[in-house]
Amino acid sequence: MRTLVYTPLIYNFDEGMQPPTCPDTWYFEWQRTLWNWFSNIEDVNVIWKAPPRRSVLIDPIKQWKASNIRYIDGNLNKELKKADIMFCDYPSTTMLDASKIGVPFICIVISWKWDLRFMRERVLQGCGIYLRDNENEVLRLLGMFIEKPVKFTLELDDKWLQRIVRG
Amino acid sequence: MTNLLFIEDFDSNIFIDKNVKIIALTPMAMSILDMRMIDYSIPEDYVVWTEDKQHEQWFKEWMNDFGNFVSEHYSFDVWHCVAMLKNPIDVVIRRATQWASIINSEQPSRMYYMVGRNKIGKDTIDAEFFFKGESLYSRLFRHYYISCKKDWLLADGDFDKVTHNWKDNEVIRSVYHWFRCLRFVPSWNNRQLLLASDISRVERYFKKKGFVVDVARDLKLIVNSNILKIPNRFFESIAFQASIGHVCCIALLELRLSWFVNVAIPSILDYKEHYKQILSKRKYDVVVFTRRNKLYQYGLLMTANDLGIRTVYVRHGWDAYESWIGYHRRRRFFTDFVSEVAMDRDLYKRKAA
Repeated sequence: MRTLVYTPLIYNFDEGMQPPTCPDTWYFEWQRTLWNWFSNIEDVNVIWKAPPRRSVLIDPIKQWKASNIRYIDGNLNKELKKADIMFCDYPSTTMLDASKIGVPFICIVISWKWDLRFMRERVLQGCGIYLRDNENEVLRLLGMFIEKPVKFTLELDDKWLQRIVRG
Repeated sequence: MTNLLFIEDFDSNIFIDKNVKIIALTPMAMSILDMRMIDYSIPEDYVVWTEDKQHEQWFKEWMNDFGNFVSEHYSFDVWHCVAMLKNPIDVVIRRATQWASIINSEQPSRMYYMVGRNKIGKDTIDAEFFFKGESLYSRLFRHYYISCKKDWLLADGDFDKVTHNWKDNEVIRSVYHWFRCLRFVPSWNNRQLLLASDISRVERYFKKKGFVVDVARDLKLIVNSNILKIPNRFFESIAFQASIGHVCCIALLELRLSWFVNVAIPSILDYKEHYKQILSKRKYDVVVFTRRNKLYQYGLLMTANDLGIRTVYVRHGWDAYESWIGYHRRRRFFTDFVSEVAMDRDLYKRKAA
């Protein structure tokens, strides 16, 4: 049984969108799909690591139940140290945490739901960030990653990215 | 003609007519409606607002004009606070655009708005300049002029209840990667550092390593604020961008912009003066910022720059986005930028350590 850590976005509600993010109600539609997909995959425990700040809006997912999903909003690094893989759906600092701890990670963004105008082109060049057009495409790629994780490293010093294929 | 019901907070004790069209405004409302198998729409079904070049250009012009107004009263560069102004203005434009799109599309004959009764009329600001209380949708419902009947459906329940909020917490959870960055703080050996962030773990780290470091904390000053009225032209310009009447725009934004000119700027200037006295008595070589989201940090940064003291911004995390305001938020006002991520150092290469 492997463990996947998923790190979702913070709800913004009436706050500005810097950096650009996905509207809350739109994002929730995607999260509902993702929860159902996670709850049906076998041999994977999911840690739904919500951001520690949900003060703007109450997160309904906290109340949801599935046998293989655990919702937490505590310390990310503690969970990552026990995890096999990490997934996020927007370019996040959690990727840096995973990279440092050595946990294979992938970021898959639903491109049409995000304002990508400000995304740096370079982050799409070998950092483990992928754009996909729809939810099914995201889930297909995520399924492939779970089957065969690829390890990306956000380069910490002077060398450029290292790409290590595992397995 | 449609009857519209906007739901921000759901109260199961309130009867919902089957003939109304429901717009869910929050994930919680969506979740409850899903459980009850009630059909609904969301604002993004009507329109999604994103910042474009035209908006960027308009906002820069608005900021320049607003900066001229501010400079008539204070010696202050408003571009220091570009995010503090842009966030509340952008969100008003985003919400108003969505609201107008829904109304224009549905042409309702009657509208209802369901929200927790304890939220109506509240407008508070937290320590990091985010406004809370009554939502903008709720305010638009109240102030947006439309010739159809409007009714509140006031929900009972503890809708403000939250788990916890890291923005109210002085300690950021994941700081260990900052420590790597702190190694690069220029010429720090045997130098006097002033840390512009009261994060105890960072302070402990410095001291444990034997460095001479003081921490600049929020001084809790009593602010000598003025009562300046914001000229109408600023609201008219925003109202035009948001396609709402300027009276509605004033209702949404006057308090927020007034807070900026009457509280934020005088506070920053008071901090600036106070830190000038401190930095004149004791000589620091470097002032280190791990974040800049409190008023005292703005004042300290301005003082350090005025006195020619090196200012270092230590980036935690990394930058996947390169918005034009990043120049004002990160590059323009700091002497050095420190990041451990190679691609960020490319982005900030002129000043990167």
